[in-house]
Amino acid sequence: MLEIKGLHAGLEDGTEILKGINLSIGAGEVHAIMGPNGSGKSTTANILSGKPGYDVRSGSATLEGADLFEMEPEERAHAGLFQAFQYPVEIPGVQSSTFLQTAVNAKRKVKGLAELDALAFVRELRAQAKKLGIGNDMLKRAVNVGFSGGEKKRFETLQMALLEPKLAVLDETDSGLDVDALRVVADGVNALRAPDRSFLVITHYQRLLDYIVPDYVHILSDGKIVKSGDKSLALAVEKTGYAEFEAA
Amino acid sequence: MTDVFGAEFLDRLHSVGAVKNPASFEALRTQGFPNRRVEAWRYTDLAGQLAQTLTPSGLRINQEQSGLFGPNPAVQTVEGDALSLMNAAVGGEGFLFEVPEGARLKPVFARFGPMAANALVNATNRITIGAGAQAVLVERWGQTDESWMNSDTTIDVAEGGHLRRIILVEDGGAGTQTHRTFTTLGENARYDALVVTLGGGLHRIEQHADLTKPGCHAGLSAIVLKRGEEHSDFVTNVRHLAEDTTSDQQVRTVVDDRATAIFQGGIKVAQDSQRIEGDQLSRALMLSDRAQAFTKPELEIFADDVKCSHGATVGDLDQEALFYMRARGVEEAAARALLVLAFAREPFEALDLPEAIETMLDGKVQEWLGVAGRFEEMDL
Repeated sequence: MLEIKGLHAGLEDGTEILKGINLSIGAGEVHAIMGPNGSGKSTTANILSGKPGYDVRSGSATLEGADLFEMEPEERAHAGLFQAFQYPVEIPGVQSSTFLQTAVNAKRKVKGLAELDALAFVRELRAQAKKLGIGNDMLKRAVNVGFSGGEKKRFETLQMALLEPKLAVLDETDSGLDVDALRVVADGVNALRAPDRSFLVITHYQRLLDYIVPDYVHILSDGKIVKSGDKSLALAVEKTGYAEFEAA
Repeated sequence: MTDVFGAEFLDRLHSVGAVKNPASFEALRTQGFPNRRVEAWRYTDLAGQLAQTLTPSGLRINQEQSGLFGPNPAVQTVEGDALSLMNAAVGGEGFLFEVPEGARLKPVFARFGPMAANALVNATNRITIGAGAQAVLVERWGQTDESWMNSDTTIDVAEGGHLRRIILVEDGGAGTQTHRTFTTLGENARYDALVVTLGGGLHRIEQHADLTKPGCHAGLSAIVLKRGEEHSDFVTNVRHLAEDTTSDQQVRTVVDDRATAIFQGGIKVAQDSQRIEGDQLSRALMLSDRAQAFTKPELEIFADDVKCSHGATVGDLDQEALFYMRARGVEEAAARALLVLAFAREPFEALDLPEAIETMLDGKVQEWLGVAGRFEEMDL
């Protein structure tokens, strides 16, 4: 599904952050990347989705064989990439439902499917929103404006459900969530697990992985994956901290 | 006596027999049109307009509701702004719109124009809102090419009355629109105006409001969308002449290509006018490096117990928001359109407009953005 090879990347100002990442995620797998602050976790997510301000020096990332770095952000989304953001942006004046319909139809158009009219879309939207405990009042509001931390993460999960990605990258989805909100979001994510859908879960804390159980865990330190293992690795980190995994 | 600005333009008007009020004409002929050395006109040059040979023509009103508009005569005056004097000199008849005491009207739509190319239309209008009356008036000016519409509108809102007025100024071509409104507000009266200006060669819209009695409020807002070589000059002048009065000015400007937009926002608070609140916020979006936006707040405050705020921002679209939408698969052009649309409709909030009018204005903005009918608010 996702192949990252020899990825060196950093900020446009020249700061190098990722220093040779190799990662292979198979279809239906859930991988977790854990690491201390500043290790390059969010940079990995942002580089994959094509956020401006970053610069790829060398290496490659392909999604089902297609070169992500050759694509605009919207093309990556059409190809099946989805990033659940750590800090979803507030967009005053743009109604959440209008935004969602525009996004869903943009992808449908690329896929050669008929665009959904407001009526058909609202039906689909309501069904998905209900599962995440998202009411009409939230969908009427502007994108992320006035949403609590939990609402923002639920809204990210709703977008994921509607856009049906092949690879979902969850960037610190647990940040700012209490246990109850975390459970709602994790349930939403788990409901989307499928044989043809993969997840890359980025987190600082092991806690999230109690709810979204990974097949593989990778420890990122100073821009490199320094250790990979199964979910027991996350528990080990929880006990000993990241210090013993620091890159030499 | 050929030295004043626009003298030849006036001589041409005179030679075609356009002058109906010689005293007004003489006053104008003496003072000339304002050039850019006049502070209020430093950003707007009428030279191109005054070089034209125009044919004076009457105002055409296309109204959906018949019988609501009567004729209104020009005034004879020898004082005031040059453009008002021109209106008086050629005897520009306009419309009279009267709402009787206590009446509550359904929204009224009226369209002024279109007219022949090279026409010069002058109009003197009068709107009166009786005590406790409520009205929503949507005026559409323009849709003309190479012509000039010039109007003066006097508004009186009596005690407890409320006028919401949308002035949609649009041109298919390089027309000129110069419109001035002078509003007087009685006790607890409200005037909420929203000017929407798009297209056109040169638009200068002035909104003057005198808050003469306690409890009254003026909202003078504008949405300015300009591209190409278009030029817009939006001028406000709120005078708080009584205590306990409030005003609000929300201006949203979007300029692309080499367009120019100016906002000159005046708030004056007279001595002894206490407990005043006056807010003003101008935000401009620059979609091109060569576009220009100027904001000139002018606050003159002579009382002590006054809360006045003014703010001005000039910027590009929110790049974070743009990326967020693109990351969800929304093409860049559509994402930009959604952001501009959201920005432009901010002044709608304060007006609490009937839905049909919001939809109409939304449609105008979407048309301007080239995404007509693409985005709609959903009924949930």
